[in-house]
Amino acid sequence: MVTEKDVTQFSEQCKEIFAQIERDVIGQKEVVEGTIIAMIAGGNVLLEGVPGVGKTRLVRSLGRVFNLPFSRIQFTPDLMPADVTGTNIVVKDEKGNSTFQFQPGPVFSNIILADEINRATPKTQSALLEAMQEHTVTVMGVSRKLNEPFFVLATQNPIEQDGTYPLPEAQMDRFMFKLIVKNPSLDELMDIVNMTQKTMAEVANAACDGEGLLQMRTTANAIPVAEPVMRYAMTLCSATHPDSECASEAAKKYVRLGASPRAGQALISAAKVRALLSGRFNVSYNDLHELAYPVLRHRLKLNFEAIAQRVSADDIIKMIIDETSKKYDIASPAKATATASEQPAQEQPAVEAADDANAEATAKDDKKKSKRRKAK
Amino acid sequence: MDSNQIYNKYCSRLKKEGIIKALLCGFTIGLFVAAVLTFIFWLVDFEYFWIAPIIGVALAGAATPMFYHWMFRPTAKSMAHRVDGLGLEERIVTMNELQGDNSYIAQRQREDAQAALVSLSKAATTAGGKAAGMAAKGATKLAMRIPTKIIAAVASVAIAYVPIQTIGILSYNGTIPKAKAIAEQIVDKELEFHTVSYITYGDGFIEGDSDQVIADGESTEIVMAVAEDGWYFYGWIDAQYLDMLGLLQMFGLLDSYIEGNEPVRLDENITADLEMCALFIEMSDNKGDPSDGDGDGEPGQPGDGQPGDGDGDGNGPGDPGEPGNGNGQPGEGPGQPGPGQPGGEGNGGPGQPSYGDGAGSGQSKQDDTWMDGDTPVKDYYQQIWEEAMQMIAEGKELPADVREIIEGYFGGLKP
Repeated sequence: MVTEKDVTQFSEQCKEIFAQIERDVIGQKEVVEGTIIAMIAGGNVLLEGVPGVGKTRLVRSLGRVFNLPFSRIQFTPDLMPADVTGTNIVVKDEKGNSTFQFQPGPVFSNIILADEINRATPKTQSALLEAMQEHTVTVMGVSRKLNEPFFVLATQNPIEQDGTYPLPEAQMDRFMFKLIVKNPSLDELMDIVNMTQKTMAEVANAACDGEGLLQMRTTANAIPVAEPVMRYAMTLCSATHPDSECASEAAKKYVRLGASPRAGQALISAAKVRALLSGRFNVSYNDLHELAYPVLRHRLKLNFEAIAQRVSADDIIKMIIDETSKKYDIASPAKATATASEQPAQEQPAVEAADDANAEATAKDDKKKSKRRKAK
Repeated sequence: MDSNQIYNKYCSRLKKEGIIKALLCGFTIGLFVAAVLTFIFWLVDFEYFWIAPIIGVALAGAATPMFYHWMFRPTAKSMAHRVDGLGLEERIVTMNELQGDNSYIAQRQREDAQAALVSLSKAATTAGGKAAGMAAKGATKLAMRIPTKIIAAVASVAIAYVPIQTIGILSYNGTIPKAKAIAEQIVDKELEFHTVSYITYGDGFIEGDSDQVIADGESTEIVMAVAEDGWYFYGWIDAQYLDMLGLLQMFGLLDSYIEGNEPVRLDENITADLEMCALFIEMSDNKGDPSDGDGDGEPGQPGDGQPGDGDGDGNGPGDPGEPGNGNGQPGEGPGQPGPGQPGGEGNGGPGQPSYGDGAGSGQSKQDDTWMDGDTPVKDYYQQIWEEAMQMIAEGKELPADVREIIEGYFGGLKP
């Protein structure tokens, strides 16, 4: 049962998490928000971006902020599955008898950074499948449960495709989000350079721990989803299938394979977290519209026509959203966003409002203290 | 104003909207039925055409509540959906679903939704500000969201009804003819048919349907006049002139009555009965080569002409024998029969030219010899002769060409 304390804690911790990450990562607000939403919702994230845009730094910073054990696996073509999962090694006990002892691999951690995941062979990539979905690792017929919370944050480079192995569909589907890490803007670049001139080390402090993160997940899961909103979310997912009964025209034209049921689960879980982050206690259509891109973009298998016409997955998702929202008599995403952002009541989410109130109270206290000091 | 009052206000707006929609649909149905009935009454010449609008109004009155009940009555869900459309981000629809749920999250959600409703109402009533404008705009949309389809249906039915009703009234007043009268006229006109017959005169036949019944204004089927051996098709002539065919031939007026020389015939835009005759003429030997005619014309009447000199060179057309007194001296030379020179009819008057042997007993040309297949030679020269006589009698001078013709044919002018 979620209580007032949980909700308050959620808002405080979220605020602190964002504040701490901002100390290490300049800009990339969408990526940071997406990653945190996925972590709270319990999903894995695939970060795609060119080298040097801060993917690895973000993941390392997250590890620090959540105060969780962090492992980095640099995926290379010669990396073997045992290098990921661990293996049994022969050891001698006190009596001198040789026995097998399991030596855990780097996957036995809470946050895994799978750097350049597409450079490893499919066999090694597949070593993560079980860990990502079931949070267990099976070696030599023995299943071992991974520590909770468990996240895989993988990175891949969209260029330099030579010698890479595209992730199999099964593995792609296990990532809740695929986030595109863009190049920083000019101001952000200046800030990055200024910051790194002082120190290259991450300075973020822990803002939460594993238990806190699991509690945040529980709190977010309690956010209700109205039946029409749930139906709309599922329609969005089904509309990506060219053969489904509610297939969109865009899917029929450009998509070879649509999103799996995991996409629906991911969309709703993430939407709940986003709603709560926005200070709402219900999921809105706008949450679904915003999250549809990271949830669906890596789950759509485009056909030749889309590739030939240079239609991206995001373009198709936009078409699907437009078509479905019309069908459901919902204001187009852009309009809805504009209306919502211009509402005074919604401009300041409840969580943020509460935070602001706390900040104001703190400021007042500080003023009082300073007055007392002056008086003294 | 608390959130419940605000929400009830929105709900009442939506109910009004539903009533307006139902009214418009009922009005459309009533108007449509009234229009149809008015038209039917006008068609069947029903005297009490004013019943139609009454039935329409009654039907509209009956249909409106049914439309409201089954189609436009806003449900709690639909009202929540509409209110959420004002930018409340599905707070209301969720709040409605969580009714009766007393969990902390449900309570917070309710509070959040109510706060959003109140702030929305405040924004709508506060003057100025972009947010207020947006909210006010949303509120306006909420009140007046009538589907275009309904408006289009009402407009189209109304547009159709006005002229139909106007026609009904004008017809009832006698300003314009009643539908029955117009229909009868149309039907009568449509049933008018005409008979077209193709007959023959002479030895020939009509290939194709010679007796056709054709609707007014339509065309006949193609027929063709086919001549028997020894006959040729001369032309088509209206059958009413058949009785005077002889006279027409006699006076050379036949051609002016001929309506087409092509054997194949197609008559278009038939508006009356028609009987056309295919005229066939027997081909005579003289026509093709009159020089070998074996005419049996009677010798010309004895005249006082000079006997032929009979000194033809045998190369050209022999001079026609001068009508003589029957005692003409035979010519000396064997005059050759001229090509195509017609022989006289030998029925008195100017002496018939005789050919040939100078004895006045040469071959006489047939009186049915034709010039160019059209004009009887006799008629031609006879006409010229008479004209010449007339001119001489009037003291006029004959034109050289006329003189030449007459001299060439009759051997000279002997008035």
